[in-house]
Amino acid sequence: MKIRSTPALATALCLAALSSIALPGAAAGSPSTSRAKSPIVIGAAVALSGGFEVADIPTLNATKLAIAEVNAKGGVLGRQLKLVVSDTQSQPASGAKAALSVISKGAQIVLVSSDFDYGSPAALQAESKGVISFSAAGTSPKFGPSGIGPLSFTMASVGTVEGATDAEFAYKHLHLRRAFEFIDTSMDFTQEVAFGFENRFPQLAGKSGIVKRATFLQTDPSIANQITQFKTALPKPQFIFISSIQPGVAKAIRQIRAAGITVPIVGTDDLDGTDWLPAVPNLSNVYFPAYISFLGDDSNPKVNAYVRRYKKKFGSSTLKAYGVTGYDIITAYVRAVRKAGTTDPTKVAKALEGFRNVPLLTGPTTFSSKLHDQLLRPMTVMGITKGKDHFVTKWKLAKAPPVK
Amino acid sequence: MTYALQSAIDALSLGSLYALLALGIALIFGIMQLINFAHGELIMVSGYVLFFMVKADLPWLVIVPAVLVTGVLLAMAMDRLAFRTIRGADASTLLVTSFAVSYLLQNVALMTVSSRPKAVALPAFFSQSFVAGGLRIAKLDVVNVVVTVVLLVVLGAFLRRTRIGVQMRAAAEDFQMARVLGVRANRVVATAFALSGLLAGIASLLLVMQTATLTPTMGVNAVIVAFIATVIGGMGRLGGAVIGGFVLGVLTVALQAYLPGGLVAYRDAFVFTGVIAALVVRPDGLLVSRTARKRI
Repeated sequence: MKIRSTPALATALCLAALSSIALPGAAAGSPSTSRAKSPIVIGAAVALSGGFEVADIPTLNATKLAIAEVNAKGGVLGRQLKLVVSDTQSQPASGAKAALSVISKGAQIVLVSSDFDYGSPAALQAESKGVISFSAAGTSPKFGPSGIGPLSFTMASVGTVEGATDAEFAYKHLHLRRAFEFIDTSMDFTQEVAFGFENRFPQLAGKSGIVKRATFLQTDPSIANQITQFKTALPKPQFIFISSIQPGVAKAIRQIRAAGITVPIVGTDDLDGTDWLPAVPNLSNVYFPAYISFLGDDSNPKVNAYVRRYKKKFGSSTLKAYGVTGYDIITAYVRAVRKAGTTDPTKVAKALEGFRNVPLLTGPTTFSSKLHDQLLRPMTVMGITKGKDHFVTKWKLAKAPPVK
Repeated sequence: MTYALQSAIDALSLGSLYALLALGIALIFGIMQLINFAHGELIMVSGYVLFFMVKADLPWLVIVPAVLVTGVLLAMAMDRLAFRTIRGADASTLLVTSFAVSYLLQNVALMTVSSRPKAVALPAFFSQSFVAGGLRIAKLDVVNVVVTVVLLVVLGAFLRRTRIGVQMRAAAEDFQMARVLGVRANRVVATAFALSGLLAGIASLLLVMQTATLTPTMGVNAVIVAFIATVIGGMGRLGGAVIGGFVLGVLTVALQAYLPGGLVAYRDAFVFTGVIAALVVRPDGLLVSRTARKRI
């Protein structure tokens, strides 16, 4: 459109000049005081419905707690943290949409679901938009340079760490030498944990350390035959390593104890939580690795204080040990942003990769340019005696387990 | 030898459970040509009723009938609300409707009780075993087999000796002719659903006593097993469903017991290869129905 008269053009130009000064923070080169008031948006593309929310809500709550505490102390770089949540509905397609939704609201970090299958669609979207994705309790190292990309992280430990912890704990703490395995082959996680055990235990107890390996599936109503294999195995096994998740592991342990097998059982961190205990009344002699003790008896007083604060804000029903990873993400992010002096994702990712044994509630945390997952952070070994959970010890692995 | 005997006991128990599941599917299929994929949800809902009643500390004398009644009522409601209006429809319509009912019930459960597995605190009896000469016979194994045998006998007598039972068999043979002869279609179908609901309630009790855990999707695997057992046994014949259930149970346990270590993780692949082989050899199933011809 041609501007016909010079006075109209001049008026238009003056108005444009005035508006660029008047509107706060509008132009790219606006002064830092107006930028500092805008909050840092933390996006969460996690499951609030559809089934997986039982895993994501505990970590999301912990994230909310951490954000509230950081804000109460003045925020980061003079800016408050603002959480924006979008429901993935436990569906991959919705996961991608949820990530895009929070990114469009200004998120430069997106929290994703605690499982690679559920969380990767959102993580991939974040990566493609140049934004950090962070899984709370998703153990897969594919949340990292070897999978999603250099801007993807997880606060969890690689699955093999749990298996290696079980192996070392059984050998060195319980002084057991002969293992019988019950492996749930339904999913990657349980096979990873098994891989960690099968790698470490023979290194300690010799090739004959693992007497036999029985497999089963989540959907099996009965593991009678596998139990028979245990009873007829020679040399007689001294303990059981069971790599499975709920509800399969509750069913299995119930049947194992019902068959009169009283040997110690070591398992995965899915034995965490008290919901499943009624299925096996008066259970004893069971041990498993977890991220922290949620009972208030952890050896780290900061963890016990966190548990108290969580219960005060959210009650006990969503209190899970792995939930603490959601809290640690914020602590780690805040530290990295302060180090980098900016929220620019590439620079923050670099700062995160500089973490060497940074003390978080889950333990001393390390990220590198090759691995955005934990291999050497000590896990918390919990025990179950007479139907009650209790803290046993923190376990530092003698060496890093393999990444499958 | 002990291992083989023990495996035989395990196989018998699992086979009984599968046979029970298959019966529930076969009952409806025989009369309506409908595979009720929502049968699994009958089991699931009955299971949750069991859970809440155990939690409320009600006596077992109340809980067991309540669970069975739940199965019956829900099945009859399914018939009345979902299937009656589409009774004469295409097989694919019936199938999709049963999937829809199944999916609906699973998601209602997901929304109301959450996907977190629930653990049921059961009396010690359900975890105990008889031990005899190196063999371990779980009390539940005995219950599984006895219940299935008793049910088969009672069901057989019902179908042969009672009026409504004979009418059901007539309807299964030739629905149109039965109606012409005065058989009340609605009553027959409702009875079939009620019976399948009763079977689902019993199966739910047995499953929960075995596993002591519940999830909204617990019925899905049960119904797939039941469906496959019905197909290999011969659709439309109750005896076939029972045989199919036992074959599937025995095959599963046998492969679990005797496959070498490296292959046992692929047990189900072998089981279903066996199923495919059985169907290639006998496409109409092991027991062919007398009326195994396409109905006009």
